[in-house]
Amino acid sequence: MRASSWSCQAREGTIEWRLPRVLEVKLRGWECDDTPIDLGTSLMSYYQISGLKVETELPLPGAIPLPSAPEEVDVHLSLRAVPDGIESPIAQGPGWAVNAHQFLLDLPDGGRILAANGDTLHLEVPPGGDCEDSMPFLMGTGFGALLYQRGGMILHAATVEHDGNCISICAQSGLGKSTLAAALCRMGCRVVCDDVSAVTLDPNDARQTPLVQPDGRCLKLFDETIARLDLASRRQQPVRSNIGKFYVEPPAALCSPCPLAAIYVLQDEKPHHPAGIERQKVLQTAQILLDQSYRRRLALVMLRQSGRMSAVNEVVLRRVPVFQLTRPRDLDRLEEAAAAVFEHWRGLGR
Amino acid sequence: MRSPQVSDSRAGLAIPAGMILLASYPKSGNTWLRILLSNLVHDGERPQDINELLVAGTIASDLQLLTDLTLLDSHLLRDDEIERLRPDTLERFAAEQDCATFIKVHDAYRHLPPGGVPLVGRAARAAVYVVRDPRDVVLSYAAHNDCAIGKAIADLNDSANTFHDKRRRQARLQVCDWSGHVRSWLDQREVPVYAVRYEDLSTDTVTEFMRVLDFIGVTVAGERIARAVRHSAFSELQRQERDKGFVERGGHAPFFRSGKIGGWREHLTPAQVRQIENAHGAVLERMGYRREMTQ
Repeated sequence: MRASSWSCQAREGTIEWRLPRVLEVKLRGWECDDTPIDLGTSLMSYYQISGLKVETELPLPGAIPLPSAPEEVDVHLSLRAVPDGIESPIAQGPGWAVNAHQFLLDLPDGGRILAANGDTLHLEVPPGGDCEDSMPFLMGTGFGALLYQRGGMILHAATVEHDGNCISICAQSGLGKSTLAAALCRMGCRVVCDDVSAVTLDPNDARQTPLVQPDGRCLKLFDETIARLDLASRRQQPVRSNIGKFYVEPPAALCSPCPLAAIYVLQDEKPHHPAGIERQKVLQTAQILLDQSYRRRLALVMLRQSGRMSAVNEVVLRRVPVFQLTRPRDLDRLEEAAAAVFEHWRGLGR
Repeated sequence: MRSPQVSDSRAGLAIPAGMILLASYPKSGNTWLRILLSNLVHDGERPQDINELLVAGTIASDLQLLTDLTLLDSHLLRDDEIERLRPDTLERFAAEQDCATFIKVHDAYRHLPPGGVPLVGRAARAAVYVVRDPRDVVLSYAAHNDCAIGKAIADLNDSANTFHDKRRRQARLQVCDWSGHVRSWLDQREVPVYAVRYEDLSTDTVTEFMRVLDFIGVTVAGERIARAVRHSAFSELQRQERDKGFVERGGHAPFFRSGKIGGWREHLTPAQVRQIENAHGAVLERMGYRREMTQ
């Protein structure tokens, strides 16, 4: 079953489910099925997100579903009332606060997200609110906070794989990470991450190879990019209503961790920044990686709190080359930019 | 993100701390004022690189600023949600600065909702409002947006004029019509505002620039101001744009296109002039511009 066919809505303290027709029929007992349905457990789903096994009653669009309940669950994600404040915040901003164990985020529709202890995510949807509308923030900033609570390193990057290794394309929102990733997929690459690229170290490898953990199996693309890349047939549900952005199933996605070969930091071609790929000096890369962290301010808070760079960061700094990728911000020249990146990447191993 | 802060102590220039809004209707000389300020802070022997200005081009509607501060991806937010977040974002941004900070604003001054909090928040200590003859604005506006002059006039006369950034770097801008924009800034009483006419700034740059500086609390030697003015000469800006381009250029025409005062007399038809004067007569006169084809 595609997760995208589920939805739910909160109304006056209760959750109203909109289930796919087949499941609805089964639950009502209109369709014969040898297996008795336990409503409590059959609504629980399991996903793999950024290397973590997630248990939830919520549908998570674009996430990688697990075929069955895992022996151990890393994260419990649920609809729950969330407090409107947390104790002893060590940092806060407009609509968010963080303390040693919790991260609280206000959502634009009046809902809230609480990430706690690296293993719990709660979403509160206001009466009349729509879970689906909150989901991108839960899967983005909410999950990012959770990963930081677990001491992770997260790049704000789209990641693609080819021939057994991957590259992460880092950039601010809206600069074209997913678009470039989609173009690389047309050249035979597989999507690993769309936005949240969590890096871990391979526990089975004495060399501690940095691995990127997949964040899902969909890209999030604007309408015009979908049309330009001829991906209309792969377009799925809107990421949120009325923002013009849709989940797009790429031709191929990788659902397992992948060795990180290089990091490219994307920037637009400008009069004083001509197109090209330039290796960044080692001394600069620590700052660059911090700047390219997912939700940079959150990364800074966590860094200040721990007082030291994570072990993953240290290995990435030593082992993974970082390049500045300057390319024309023009959909008509997208293939040209993708080809340049692909050729450069493939040349790294030679 | 590059900070738009002005490191005043390093530059030997004392600008009182706090956020100062550089407000204007689009294509009214806002960028030029920023270049003047940059050259004043820079105070080098050579003009500042227009693509590396010390007083950076951070705009109040910057979506990256909003994402960075709210931790919400602005590209996942609807226009109304972004607007609701903007006052808090700017206030937080202002609170984080420990020295003078200039922020460009093209939005009309308004409240969310009407009677509520100002869109630009309540943290700015001052605003400088640059106003330019709308008959010249339409020429620059048409060139910047690659549109016909007729369309530019229609936009300037449209009380619902709204900009949508195709590249999604900026929030939806409700600039409204030219008169409404001027009134919104000059009639509000929440941010102390100093209005400077582009034409005056252009004609007697040193004197007018000194008045702006005086308003924002900067005392500086006349020699330094004169140098900043020389380094910000239109011919210099055109030279740099011709040689290296300009990062803020919008359409195909150069950003520093003409800068000419009264260029409209050569380019607008009498009917177009009447269209503008009829729509904006009262504010034209209020700002000291003479109607030439209507009464």
